[in-house]
Amino acid sequence: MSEIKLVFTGSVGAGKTTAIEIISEIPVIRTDVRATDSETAKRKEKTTVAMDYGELTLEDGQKLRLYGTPGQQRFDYMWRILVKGALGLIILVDNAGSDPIGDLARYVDNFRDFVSNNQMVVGVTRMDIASEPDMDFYHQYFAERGIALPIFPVDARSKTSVVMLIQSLIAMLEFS
Amino acid sequence: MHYKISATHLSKNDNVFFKSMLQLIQIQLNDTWSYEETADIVLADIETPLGVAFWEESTQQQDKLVIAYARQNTCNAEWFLPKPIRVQALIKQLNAIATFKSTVQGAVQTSQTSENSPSSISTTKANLLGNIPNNTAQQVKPSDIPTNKPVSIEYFEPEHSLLGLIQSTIKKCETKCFTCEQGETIYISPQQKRCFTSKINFNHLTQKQRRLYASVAAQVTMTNLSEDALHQMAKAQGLENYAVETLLWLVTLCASQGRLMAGVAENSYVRLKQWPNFAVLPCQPVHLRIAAFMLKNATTLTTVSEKTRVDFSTLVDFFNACKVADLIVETTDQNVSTEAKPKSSAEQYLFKNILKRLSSHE
Repeated sequence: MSEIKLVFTGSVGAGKTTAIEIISEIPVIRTDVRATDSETAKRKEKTTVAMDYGELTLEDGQKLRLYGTPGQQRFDYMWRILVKGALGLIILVDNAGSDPIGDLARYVDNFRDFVSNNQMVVGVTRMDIASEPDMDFYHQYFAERGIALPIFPVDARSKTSVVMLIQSLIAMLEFS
Repeated sequence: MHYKISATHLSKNDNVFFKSMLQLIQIQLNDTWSYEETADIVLADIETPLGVAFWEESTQQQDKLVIAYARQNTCNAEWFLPKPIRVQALIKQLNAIATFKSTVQGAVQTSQTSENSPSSISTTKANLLGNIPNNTAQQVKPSDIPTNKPVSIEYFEPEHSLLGLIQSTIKKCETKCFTCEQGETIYISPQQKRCFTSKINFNHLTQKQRRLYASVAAQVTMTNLSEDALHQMAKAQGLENYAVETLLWLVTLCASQGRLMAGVAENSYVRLKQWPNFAVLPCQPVHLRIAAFMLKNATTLTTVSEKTRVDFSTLVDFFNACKVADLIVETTDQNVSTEAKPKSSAEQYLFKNILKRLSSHE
């Protein structure tokens, strides 16, 4: 395996950069610029336009590379580039966003090909800001579509939470 | 409870190792265990002729509980510790024996109480709650405690454990305090869907916490109290609050002790309805492995144990906790999709390496 990488994707402001920052052992390389479109600017001052990059060194010296995709749909060409050859995918959905279920649907749909041969997990962030839709709603969404994936609330600022996402992904990979 | 254990016909090395291991694991045991030269619970090396003779004699006389110690359980011993002694196996075995002992004792107490004076059940330790204002604290009527059925040591029956008492309290929406001798105290507010207790370190439960969580119903003292009293108490004692689901989950993991929940057939096909919310349900890495397999596959618990290489009793504890959390679906068809794809050793090595690196983060 030449490059071992995990990709964090998901909606604008869901916490992808924060999640990578909290576990990366190097300062995260960011490509963020001032948000220009009104919708993004409402949510945050700066936004990722190409990728975020962090890494973890494993015991044998190999690097686990952590990539974060841009959240905005107009940069979706980067999604496909970054996900190529990835070990797995972590989708973060901002529950305080305007349409979290729509966001989830869009990302699951976009990465359908990748997921057919790989694994992904979904973390729902900012549930402390917006409690609706609740987790039952997400589970029902998956159940109606016959999707069996780990999905649970996470706090992108919490190391424990982000580690749990990756541990869940590895567990899924082990039995895929 | 305090249990005494001795060892017989062990090699000198095993004997020394067992004694030091017993001391090392004290913090992880639900009860206090001490090594004595003679005791009613005995670890016997059945790979020696004298050890076998001792084991046979004891099983006939039934005056001692003997744990057979060997590489293989060739005697089909009910209590068995595989060689060499390993930490987890020893912890599980001793906790299971303590549960067995307390269950038998609980059954005796229950039957005596039922025959003689039911009102004596939760009054003996009322002084533990002496700081609850008199006008708000009220001892629970004994009719709340199930007394008319023998306690099973083969199956986990929530109604005979702390779990059942908590479930009943939630159902009736009553605010209550639960404690047991030398155990932790917890306050439940079904109205707020929270419980209040001293801080829980999910990776290292204290002996007091484990003692309460694994209690049989007859050992538990329950006290009714008002919401106001609960808040005063929580504030005064600096208690932490947790989701009720968290407590139910922990209590089930502690109390089931490898016993499958009563009413569940071991050969039924089961799968997870959805991924457990591990944000509020404390888990170990092994639980993630089981969840990953059971989310995709509907099969028997025996198969789950084989495929995940998780020991059956740990699996059963997790299964029971999922059952209590309403996360289990029973199906009529078996559907195992992952069996024909063993991972390469390189992949296994990589996964192990990543998990190891992540564990240093926690």
